[in-house]
Amino acid sequence: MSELADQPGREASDEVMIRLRGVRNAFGDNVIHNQLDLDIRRGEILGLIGGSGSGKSVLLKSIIGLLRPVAGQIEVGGMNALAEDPKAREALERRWGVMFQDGALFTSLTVLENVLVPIHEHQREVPEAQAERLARLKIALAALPADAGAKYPSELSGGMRKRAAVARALALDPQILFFDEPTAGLDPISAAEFDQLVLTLSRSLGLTVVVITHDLDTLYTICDRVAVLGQKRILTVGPLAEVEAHPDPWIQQYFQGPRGRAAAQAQTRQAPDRNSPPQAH
Amino acid sequence: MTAAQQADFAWVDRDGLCLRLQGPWQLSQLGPLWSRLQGRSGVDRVDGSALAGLDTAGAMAVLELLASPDELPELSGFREADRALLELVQQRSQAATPTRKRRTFGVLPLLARVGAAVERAWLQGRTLLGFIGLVLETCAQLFTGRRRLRLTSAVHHMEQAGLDAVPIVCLLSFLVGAVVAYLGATVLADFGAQVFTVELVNFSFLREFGVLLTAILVAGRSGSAFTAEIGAMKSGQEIDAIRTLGMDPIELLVLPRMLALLLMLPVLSFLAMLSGMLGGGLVGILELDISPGLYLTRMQETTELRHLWVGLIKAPVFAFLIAVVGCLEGLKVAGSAASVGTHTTSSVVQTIFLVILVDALFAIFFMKVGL
Repeated sequence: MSELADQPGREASDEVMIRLRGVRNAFGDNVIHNQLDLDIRRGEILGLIGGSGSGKSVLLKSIIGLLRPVAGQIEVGGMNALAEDPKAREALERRWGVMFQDGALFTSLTVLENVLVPIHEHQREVPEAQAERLARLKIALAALPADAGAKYPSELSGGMRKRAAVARALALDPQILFFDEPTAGLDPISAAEFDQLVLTLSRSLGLTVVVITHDLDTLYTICDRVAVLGQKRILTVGPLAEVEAHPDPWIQQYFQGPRGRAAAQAQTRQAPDRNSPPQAH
Repeated sequence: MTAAQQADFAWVDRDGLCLRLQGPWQLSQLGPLWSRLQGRSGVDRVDGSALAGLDTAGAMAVLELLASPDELPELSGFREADRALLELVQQRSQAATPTRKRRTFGVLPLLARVGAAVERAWLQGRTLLGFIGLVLETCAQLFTGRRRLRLTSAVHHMEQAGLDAVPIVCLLSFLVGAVVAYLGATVLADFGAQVFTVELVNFSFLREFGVLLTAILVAGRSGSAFTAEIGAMKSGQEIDAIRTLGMDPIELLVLPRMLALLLMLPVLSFLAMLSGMLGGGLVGILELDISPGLYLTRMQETTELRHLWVGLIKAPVFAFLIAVVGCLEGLKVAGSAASVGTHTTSSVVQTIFLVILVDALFAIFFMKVGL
């Protein structure tokens, strides 16, 4: 447990960072997940895909504690993520950062102040000058220009808002980053840049990354493994090459459709080695 | 590697200043270290062999101690990953420190701000007048058949702004009526004129309080709701969608709300007058020893019908103001959720201000014409 907190790994390992066992989510009679199991390894980038309404966002919410599953266990870094003790919860919440779909920045604060919010709230010992420098560092890590810090979210483009949200998610040096549809609504160039940002951050800071996405290019470019959500559980999880070969009709349609094929081709043209499993690096 | 629980450091003097890092240099562990590091610098060698963990905050703290922040010092004993992190943070923190916004003080900026505020008020008034004209024009087009009256929507708003407001309007008027009766009786008792409480309650409620209380309540309750509803639609681009579908937002959103208020505010005001008079009457009868018979006779003798009309005639005017300002503020919303909040506040403040202002003008007018 404590050795996990020590040192972020820089490469995907077999160690499990997030463990879901028998998770059941339901709204009244409407069952979203049933008997759902999933292991997310430390240091990997896991893509989570599934049809609209298959409960991807619900799964994300139950991992980060915004929604309590009806049944099942969720462990993050060896700690029970469903613990109710407020101290344990706070320790857990510092382990992850979340980027919501449209950033969810506080509109009345500048980008810099947005990044400073978690630092001021949770790390009161940090002197003001250092806190501000730290926030600027996060803004730079999210590949935003330095003058973006003084701007309000409404003055930023969609892509920059997402980067600002990443900067805020990085504020407390989390070990896990969750992204909800990071490239939705971005033009292809910004989307590709964003993919690279996620990849760079994950590798250089040793982060475990979970990406909910519909973007096939994201899957092919950055994901070490892909989990497919369907029929209320995880249909399959593994490196892309394995997932593509899964016989499930939805998965076949997903990867063999015109968009899937195009993305796969584009990827083999660019970097033929990325489709191999990460262990091969 | 020592399993130190706290981040720590030691100075090792080996031809130059060498910093030896110990324990986990991570944001959550650095707490007490910040003050100890303050003001230190000049490090040109760092030893990381006893380091138990490093994150970006820790890396930044190390970099701040360096003699020259632009180049990495001699690093020894670092793990490859930690060294890479130090290099990354060092690269990224070079991005310049931008200047803070400066606030200006003095007489000139003060004058400028006063001027800007006056200009804003003027523009606001002009926009309001323009919008009133637009609404009246659309209203007129209802009769020529160019526009349709959205009856379903109007009835819906009548229920929300009218029917649903009946309990709160009646209760508040009843209470205020009772208070006025008490107050009047206390003062009038000194002159032995307790019986004039009847006139006090009835006149004040028929002429002023009934309609004024209702208008203020409706402004807070429905005017704000209009702004918030329309504002949320505006920020969600629904208004744009209405326009591109060839419909008119004034016809679709503003007129039904206005019509609903025009019809319901007089009704609500009438109910408020009755409840207020009932509240005053009950206090008079139960507490002030005026017999029910005397109270009713007195009421019939002294209260003329014209007081009712003086009160009720103001209701449609207030209704118009509340609806117009509420809808206009909603349409002014731009962008974010914060804007909806600002405009809702502004809508309530403006309507209450306008209602009281117009009420005062009415009072002067009625006094001059002797009603």
